[in-house]
Amino acid sequence: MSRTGLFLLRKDPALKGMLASVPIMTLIGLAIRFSGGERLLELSDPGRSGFAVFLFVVVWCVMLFHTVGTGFWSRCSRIAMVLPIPARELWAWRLVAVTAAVVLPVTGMTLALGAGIDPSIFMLGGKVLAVLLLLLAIGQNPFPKLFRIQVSAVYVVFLVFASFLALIYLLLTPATVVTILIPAALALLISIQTFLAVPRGFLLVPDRPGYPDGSPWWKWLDPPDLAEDAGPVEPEAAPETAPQLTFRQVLHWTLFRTLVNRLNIWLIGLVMIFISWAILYEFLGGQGAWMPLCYTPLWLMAHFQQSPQWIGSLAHLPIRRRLIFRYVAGSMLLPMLVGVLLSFLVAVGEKPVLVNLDRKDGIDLEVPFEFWEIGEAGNIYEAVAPWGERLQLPAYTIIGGYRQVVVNPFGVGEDSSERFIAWQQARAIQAVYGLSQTPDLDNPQVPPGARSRTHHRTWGLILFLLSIGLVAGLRFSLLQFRRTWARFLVKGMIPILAIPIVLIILAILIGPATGLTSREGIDVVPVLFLSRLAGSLEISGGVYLLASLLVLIAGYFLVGRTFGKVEPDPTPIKSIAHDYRF
Amino acid sequence: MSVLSFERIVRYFRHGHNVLDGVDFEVDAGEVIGLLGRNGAGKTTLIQIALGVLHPQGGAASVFGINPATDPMAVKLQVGYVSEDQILPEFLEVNEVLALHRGLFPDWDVELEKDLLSRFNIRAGAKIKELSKGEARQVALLCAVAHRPKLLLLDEPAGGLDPAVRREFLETSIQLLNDAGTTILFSSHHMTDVERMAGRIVMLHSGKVLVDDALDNLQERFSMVLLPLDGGMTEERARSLPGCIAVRRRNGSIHAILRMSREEGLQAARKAIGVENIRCETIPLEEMFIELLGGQP
Amino acid sequence: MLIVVDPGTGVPVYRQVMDQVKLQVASGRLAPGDELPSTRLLSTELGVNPMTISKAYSFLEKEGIVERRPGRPVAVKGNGGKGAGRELLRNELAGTVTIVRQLGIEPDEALELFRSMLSKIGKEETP
Repeated sequence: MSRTGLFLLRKDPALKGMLASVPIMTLIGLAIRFSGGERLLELSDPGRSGFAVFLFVVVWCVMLFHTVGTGFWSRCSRIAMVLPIPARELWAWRLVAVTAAVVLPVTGMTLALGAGIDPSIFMLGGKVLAVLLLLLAIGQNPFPKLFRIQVSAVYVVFLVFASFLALIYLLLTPATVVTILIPAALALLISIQTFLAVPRGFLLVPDRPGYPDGSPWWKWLDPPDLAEDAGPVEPEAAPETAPQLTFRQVLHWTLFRTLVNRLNIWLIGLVMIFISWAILYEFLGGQGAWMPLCYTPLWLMAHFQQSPQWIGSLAHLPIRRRLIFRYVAGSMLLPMLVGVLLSFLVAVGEKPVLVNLDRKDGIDLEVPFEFWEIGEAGNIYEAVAPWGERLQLPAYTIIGGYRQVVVNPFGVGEDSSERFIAWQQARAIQAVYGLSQTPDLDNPQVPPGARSRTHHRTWGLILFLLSIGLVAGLRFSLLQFRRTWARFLVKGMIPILAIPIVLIILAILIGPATGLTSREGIDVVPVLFLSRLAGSLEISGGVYLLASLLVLIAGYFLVGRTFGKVEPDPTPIKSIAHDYRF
Repeated sequence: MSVLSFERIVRYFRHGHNVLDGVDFEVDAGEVIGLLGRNGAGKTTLIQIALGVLHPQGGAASVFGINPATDPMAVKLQVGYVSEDQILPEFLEVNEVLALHRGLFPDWDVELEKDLLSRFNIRAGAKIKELSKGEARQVALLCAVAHRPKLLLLDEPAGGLDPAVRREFLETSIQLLNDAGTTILFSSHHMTDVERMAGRIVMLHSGKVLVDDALDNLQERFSMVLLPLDGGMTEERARSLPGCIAVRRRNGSIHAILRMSREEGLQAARKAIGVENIRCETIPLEEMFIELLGGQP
Repeated sequence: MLIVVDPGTGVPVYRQVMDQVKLQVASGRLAPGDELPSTRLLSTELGVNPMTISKAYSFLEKEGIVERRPGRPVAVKGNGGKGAGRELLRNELAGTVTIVRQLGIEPDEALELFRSMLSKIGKEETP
């Protein structure tokens, strides 16, 4: 590797962006796999095309993020452009960096999703990668003249169209070596063509005005140098009777464009929809995995922590902070609300219940984690039916070497008779809902709208604690300390809070194999602990819900007040790719 | 009553050192203050404190008797602000930017807006991002003055502009001064602009006000003696001149800045050194800036 | 009335204005009774702070050269006395004298040069 190449690579913002995107994508993969949300788990089922769509959408979003954040659409930096380095070399190293920045995060995510589950996920990931590389190659515009790929409206439409075609390709073709090789080979061919077409030196602006890159896409087969001279294009005269926006429209449009219309907000918003959906669905019809709960506060805190940078350009105008706050908060609250609504809609359609007999792989009777029990390691736990049929219940380690374990007292086994399963189901429903049952496997007597007291108050307490933590966290993330270390602490809070989550995910990954811990142990213990706490407090779920609502509403105003005093970040918004853009 | 006052303003910077460390001065109605200082001296910080965008960590600012830290809205409504790195929403048309400001400022003067728009010759239908740097700044100036503020805060308003636009800027400000006796606080590195506009100079250095005086006084109170090198003239001897604040060696002669007028300086130098062929000159503000601030760390 | 301001010289702008008005009065280009441009007009024309012009006018008034009359333009009052012209020339020559010293030119030689230059200008002006 030449020294120039090393220098260019080291300076490339795509690689710097990768430092963030690889762990993030890997984490998303791990989170999907281990968050326990059943809906999300289905995404990692290679048999379903949903996975490909999901992966593609997420990856495409990440790519867009790179595009804006790290200047994907430049062939070299403005600074590098004036260095005595051939344009081909500049572009080639740029392509290496950009390709790496696409390949590595997707690889990380695919590995995280598929390691140890099913190698066919890797084939699918490979296909997605190959298609993305093809899009990337097309996106580089194979007849380059400028240092930057000019993004005309036509070009964007073309790229969106191309990505739709790519999506269709992903959905319709099987994941085989051939379907991976075809887009990969095309990508290679296009890249070679681009490489050969790179001039000796890039231009800063098109030599003929009116042509975005000297090469509109419909003239790709006709290299721009030979094309007829279009002559200078008159700047189009603005219509004198342009529709005038009113003050309110302009104000809100300005606020929207400055505070909301940012790619990372759209991305995080999308994730927020999913997370809120997952959380509510977990509560309504799942066992109650708590991991997704951790993501919302973290995303929100990160969001608010960045906000001082966005308000700088509005700071000198007499616009009330309250109005600005509504936009900053709303851009996150709205997606959360959408997620909750979606979840409700699904719930109304599916009428989820808390006791589910899962026969998908093996057989399992799922009850909310509050109804699990803690036992001692070494003891044998059995469920014994009145007629004598018995089943030894599996005990899951909480922490290796620690004496206590968790047990699902309503477990069923592969060898259990239908009668036993029905008996367990009836027992579970009785425990969860407090409804008397006559065992009937196909007709559990759960009236619509039945509620589980324990489940509701446990989750009410969780919600209450979470909202207090959220409000405190948000206020903290908006504090602007004078001391450097204190500022560092505020900035570092999110990584600090994220570390336990990463550790837990790691523990889940390596736990079962090493006997250190188990998935069930980590899922059950906090819920069980809070369930006992809620049980001793004897406050009903409705009260908690109301209290949380009050906390959140008060929190909105509290955070709003703190936000009102926030100073705009004096450092101008400068992405790591600043000099990669105009 | 003072229009604008700073009382022992203290503001720490992120990296620990004080940008402003007890800045104290008042501005009376109708004054034009040139705020000078080297890069990083805290001019921008001070102006933003006056605007209520940054809060002082010690002391208090007051604009028309209002504390900008507690009621920034009231201050922003009565003040016009233009800065070098001010960002107009580039996705808006000039029309829309004007509509935005018209709505934000109740005292907006539509006549003045029309007048300035035609004087600057800016296409109202153009998007901000299509404008040149000079045109964008002119739009910013228009937005800053069309509500006829009684105080203008200009932070390096002419930075990066060509001389023609700079002059246009100057003339618009002068028109405002003439029309309404607007008070102006402006920072600039264009010393000739400062000499044209400012009545009073405030120089910031290492967090404090180093110089606060009428421009005319400054120019009349400082002079530069050019001492020829022959006859055993050394920098030490020059430094021992009465009222000498800075000495520099320059091709063939030694320049000593004296804190006295040209005539006094000439006589004092002749008396002290006993040499007749001494010249004493007035100092342009630019030289004064360099002499007063340039050598200091 | 022609007034030019050069802000880069270090001479206060109000002084530049004063000197030029004085020069024009002393030379007779401005006669008593002649009106001077308003503060507003002059400040816009020169691109300087109107307070500066105002200051120049009030100093000129103190020296008895102009007269400020409420509601009417500032007008020239007197020529500042006989010595005004001499005083202006004196100021102008101060720098020249130092240079003559520095160059080591004999006073007679310098005077000769000065005289010949003066007569040349005289010839050009009266052809």
